[in-house]
Amino acid sequence: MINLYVGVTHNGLAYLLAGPCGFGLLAGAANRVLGTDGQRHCSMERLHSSLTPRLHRLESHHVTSQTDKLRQLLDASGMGRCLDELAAQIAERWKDKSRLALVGVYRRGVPFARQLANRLEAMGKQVDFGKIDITQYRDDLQTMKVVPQLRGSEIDFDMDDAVVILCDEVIYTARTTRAALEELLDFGRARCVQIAVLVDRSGRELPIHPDYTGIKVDLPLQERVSVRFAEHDGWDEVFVRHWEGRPA
Amino acid sequence: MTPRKDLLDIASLSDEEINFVLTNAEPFKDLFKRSVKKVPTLKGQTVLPLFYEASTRTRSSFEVAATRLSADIIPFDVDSSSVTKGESVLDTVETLEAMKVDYIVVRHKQSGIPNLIAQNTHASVINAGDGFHAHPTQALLDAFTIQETLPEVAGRKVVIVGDIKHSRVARSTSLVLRRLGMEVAYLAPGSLMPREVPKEVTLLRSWDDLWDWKPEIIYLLRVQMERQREPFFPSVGEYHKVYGLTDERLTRVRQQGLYVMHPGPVNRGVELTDNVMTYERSLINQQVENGIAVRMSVLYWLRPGAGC
Repeated sequence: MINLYVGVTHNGLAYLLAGPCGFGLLAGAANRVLGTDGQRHCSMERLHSSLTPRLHRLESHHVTSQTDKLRQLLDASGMGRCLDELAAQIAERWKDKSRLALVGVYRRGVPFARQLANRLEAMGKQVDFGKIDITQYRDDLQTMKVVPQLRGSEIDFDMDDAVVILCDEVIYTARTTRAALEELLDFGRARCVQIAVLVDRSGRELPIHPDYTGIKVDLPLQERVSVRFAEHDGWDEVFVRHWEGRPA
Repeated sequence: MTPRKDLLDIASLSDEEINFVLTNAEPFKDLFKRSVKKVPTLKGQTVLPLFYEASTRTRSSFEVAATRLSADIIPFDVDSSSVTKGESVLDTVETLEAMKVDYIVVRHKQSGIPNLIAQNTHASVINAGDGFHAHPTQALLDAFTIQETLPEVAGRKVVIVGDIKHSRVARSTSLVLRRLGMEVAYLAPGSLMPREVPKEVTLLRSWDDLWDWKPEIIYLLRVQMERQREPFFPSVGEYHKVYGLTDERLTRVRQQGLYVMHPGPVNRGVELTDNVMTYERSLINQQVENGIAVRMSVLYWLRPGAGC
């Protein structure tokens, strides 16, 4: 909570310019509680109950892709507030002259990074943008049933001495993040690499933790977090859906 | 895409598989621009080039591709191994099998040897040229080079000039290009034209015919001197004059903005004049670079033991 208010003070102008977002941020704050580890946790029951009508509307629009949806974590405005907050935190941390670069991990880390970059640019920060396809760096490539089509990474800026924010929409086991970090380092020697996620889902299998977190959730093995971005999927939403779980 | 164990020829590939390999070659080629030109894709896997027939280019192309995928390459020199002492191909393969090799890249003067090896090993087998039969990675790299050069390949015309009869390159490349919807013609001396030619292929008799056909790409084949035990044409000079890309013809090629390809290594003064090497629309060097990317894409797709 304290962090949040500091954020508002330092970036008050941005929030004022953003209009309702500033109020949204405060409203969003009411839905969060501080966890024992000092991280913000999302109070899902409250979010869920308050957003149920919207959930129904969304479902009627996107029936096919949401058949196994269990519950919503964030609706479009909640997501917007989360992104505003994350961008504000990044801007606050790097308010000096550091050269910032946002790199999204395919697939939805890319629209996530784009959203953050747009917000940072609106605050007057100049940011470089990149995309990373971690397929070649996966630790399970040899056992995958299907060989993935490659998209290719695009890092067109000079990595050396840049402050790189690696963006992924959800962090879970951190195996993707591990692969992304390894690939990123092959592009050059960044001054610093940090990790930003929209959702931090429990179940880490590697000792990697995000520096900027939107919301944090605990989920059973058979559930997974899905994020949808308007520019990628046609609508903005974070929801939980049923999943067979990770193979043991 | 479902992984496949072996790549033995073009004919056994589906359109989707051809497309998969060609599409993935692009990000592999982008890798060459990075400071670290290597990805960990095949870390811990071993690749063994088994070349019963001499080849410097194809072999190094595969080795560079495997290296950039972080595979380990096991040097295996056929000439100095027991093969010269009469060990059969299958005995050799059994030995390699015991060494737990993951990928075997085979070149053999006899058609069908890569298939035979593939049936007898768990490792993935890539045909790097067998007799007059096939050279699938050459075909794929040619297709990739053309796709990279022309915005839309379907309906475009390629003429293949030279020793079609003894050329596995002609066979495989012609097939893949037709699969991509291109029109293919052959120009060869009668003695070097195969008896059976696919009916979709246009047969040309001379360069005059070639100009009339209006191709956009001229694909020159290497005159395979080592295969010329019985002469198929009177002399090298005569071949150059009648079928080669001479200085005179190059002037016309330049005027019309045609592209020139060659699988290498070139015989200067035989199938082409020296000046082709500096011609701005020669794709020959591009073919070499693309060969690495396409072979990386093939290695990425194949998986030892797949489908077994």
